[in-house]
Amino acid sequence: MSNAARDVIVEYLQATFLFDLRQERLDDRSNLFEAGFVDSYGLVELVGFLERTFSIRLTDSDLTSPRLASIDGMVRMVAEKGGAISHG
Amino acid sequence: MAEGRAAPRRCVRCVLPDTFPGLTMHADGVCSLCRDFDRAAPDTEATALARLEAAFDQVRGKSARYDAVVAYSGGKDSSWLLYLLVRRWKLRCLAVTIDNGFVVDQALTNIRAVTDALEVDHILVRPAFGFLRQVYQESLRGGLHVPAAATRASDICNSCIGLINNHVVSTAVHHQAPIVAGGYVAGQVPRNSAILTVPLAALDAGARSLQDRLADRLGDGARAHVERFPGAASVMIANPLLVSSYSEERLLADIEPLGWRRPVDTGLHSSNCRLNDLGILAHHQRYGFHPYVGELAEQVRRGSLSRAEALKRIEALPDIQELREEIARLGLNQELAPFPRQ
Ligand SMILES: [Zn+2]
Repeated sequence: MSNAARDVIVEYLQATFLFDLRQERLDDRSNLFEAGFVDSYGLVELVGFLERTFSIRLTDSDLTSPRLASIDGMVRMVAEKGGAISHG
Repeated sequence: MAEGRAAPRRCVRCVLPDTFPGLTMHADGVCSLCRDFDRAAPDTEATALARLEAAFDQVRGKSARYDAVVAYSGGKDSSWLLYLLVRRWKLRCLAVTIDNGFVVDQALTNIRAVTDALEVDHILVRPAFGFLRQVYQESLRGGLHVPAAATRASDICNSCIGLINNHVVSTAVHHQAPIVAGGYVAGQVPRNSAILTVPLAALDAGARSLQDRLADRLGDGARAHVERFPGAASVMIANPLLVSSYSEERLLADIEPLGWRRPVDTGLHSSNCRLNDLGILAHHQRYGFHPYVGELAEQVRRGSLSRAEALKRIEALPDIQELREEIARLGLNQELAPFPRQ
């Protein structure tokens, strides 16, 4: 589950925020806001993507959680909320 | 305009060109964003409208003075937004306009007419032009915003949007108004942003990053132009035009009786700003596609704009000869191509 979720998240992040993890020397723990790839518009988009793709609901505290800034954090957030990929 | 470049291949459904960053074209000629759109099964407009109205019902009349602070440019979209908030949803609104130094006189006349007709309080903010000029110069140099921002708007527009959003949120915080409303239409903001509760801490993170980016280029003094949002409260971000069956005929029928008149001197896309065309031209030269193509493509997907009309709009590029005054006011060199390709 986690790995499948990670792959879906990474594919989305790279296509939407226009970076390549390896080229930018980023890893699953890098803060994508601080790295200069996600802004507040991107945050709203990202929340929509996670909710839609994994059929979960993010709370106010999720929206300010540093976990939303990294791939690792997002994967854990999705797993804790029992998210499942809703569309193939 | 983009001499020497072959015409891009376009998605047969939505008009996005293959030069659009992050886009993949499938063998049938349909792009990856159209595929995502079909898969995403977004809220129907009716569902999102019901959520928006429930949120409005919850806060109407609760705060001391204003229910909503509205980002009001005087353009047709935000004029219609103000009309809907006041007449349809009966919200007490405070309209905020940022004059970036390029707002046309007719827009200012429209703002007076519409706010008077709707009996709305209005604040006009004019940031010092010396600061704005520096911001625009740096915008044209590129790299001021995250890479994905180029898929949404020109660098100049992105700078303005950042500053405007910051002003509007800070005004709402100041007046303890629960709603911040924008006149964005489909394709200009994420699909899920018709109504959205956002903690101030999340907006503060955005404000801090805007401060950092400006300070990096303009020096630490630039930080003072961006407000921060300490505190644990939340605001509701509302973009009601996403769920209002947007059509130009409909909105004109509502706002013309208020005294709104279409300006004649704002260029091809904007109904209030003379700088917009320069942003478009610079964006097209740098990135190889029109900055409006992302939002127009989304409107085509949603069926609110025909593909032919979208094509017509993105193929008509501004003429640099008509932008001499704006270029001079920004202190740019008239003779050199000012906008290098990336
Ligand atoms: Zn397409």
